[in-house]
Amino acid sequence: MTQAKQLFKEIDRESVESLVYDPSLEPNYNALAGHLMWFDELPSHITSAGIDVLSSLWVARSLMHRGLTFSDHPVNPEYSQRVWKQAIQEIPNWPGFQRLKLSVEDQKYYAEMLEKNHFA
Amino acid sequence: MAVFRPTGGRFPCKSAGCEAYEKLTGKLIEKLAVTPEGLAVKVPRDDKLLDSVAKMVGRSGEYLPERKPMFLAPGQNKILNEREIEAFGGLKKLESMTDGELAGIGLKRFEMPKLKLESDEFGNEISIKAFVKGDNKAWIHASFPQQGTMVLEHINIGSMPEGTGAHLLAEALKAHGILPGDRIILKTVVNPESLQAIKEGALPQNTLISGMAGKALKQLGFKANSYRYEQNGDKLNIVIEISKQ
Repeated sequence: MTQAKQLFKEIDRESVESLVYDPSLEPNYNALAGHLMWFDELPSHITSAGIDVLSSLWVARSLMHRGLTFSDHPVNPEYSQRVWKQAIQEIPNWPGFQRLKLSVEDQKYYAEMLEKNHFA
Repeated sequence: MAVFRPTGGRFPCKSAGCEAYEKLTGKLIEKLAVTPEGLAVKVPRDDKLLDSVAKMVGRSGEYLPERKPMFLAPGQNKILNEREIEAFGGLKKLESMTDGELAGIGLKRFEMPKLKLESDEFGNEISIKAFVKGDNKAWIHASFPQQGTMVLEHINIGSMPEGTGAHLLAEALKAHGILPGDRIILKTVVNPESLQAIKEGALPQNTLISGMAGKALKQLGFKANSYRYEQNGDKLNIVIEISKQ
């Protein structure tokens, strides 16, 4: 049986795993990809490849935030689900996994953000 | 063309951090210039040295964006576009008007607040962030995974007026003294507006997000040569090949 290639380089995995969940933070909206993220979910020192994987996780989680499933992923549902499942194994302590459901306040903020573009 | 990391005056050094390191490196260069005979001599500014010092210390601190004439549309959180400016008599006319005169026709000047800068380097990779002071939702994040390529990772204009995204992107790059050389990748353009446009068959150059990037490029003295969609795993990106104007 072949083992799946690790998503994160070891140095990135360690950076992500060392992040500390801060429940007092407010969400930020990425107007490019249409997802929420919190600043304790992004290490300050990480490679572009590492950011790429986090970006996949943020988009996958945004489906949950909108009451959707992986099959609703706009680009590649199978790939997205595979990355998500593997990330749970590789970076179980990533603070982002603690935010699979939004508070009422955050839900309101997200709905407002999705209504119109915030990049131009 | 490589990623630019100008230090020798391509952009004026405005941020406190930038000034500080220039002063520091200037002093270092002057004090360390000693001839084999032991005579202290003043040496000319060495951009390569300044550049390597900049890479070591990174760009941080605050940056005052270049003043760009922007006018808030009447009753809206939106700045006037070129066509609307023409309808009000043109840019020169609006620029020459006092605040009171502008208020008389329902307009108000808008200036982008200071930017707070953060940067990180990982081998040859560079990652930059710029946060709009006083607006904790407005920020930008770009990475430079290889020479000549800039990846736009995050952008949000927060509560700034609609139409300010391009200026935010351009000023963030100027503030960090870094420019894309060959291409910009707009990563994961799956926001509702772009997705809808793509589903309707919009060409990449006709999406609003590409329009924003194109305006920013113009401000930076670049032009877009081609646009294309690119699917990479679960990502849908827009790749813009660029060159100097």
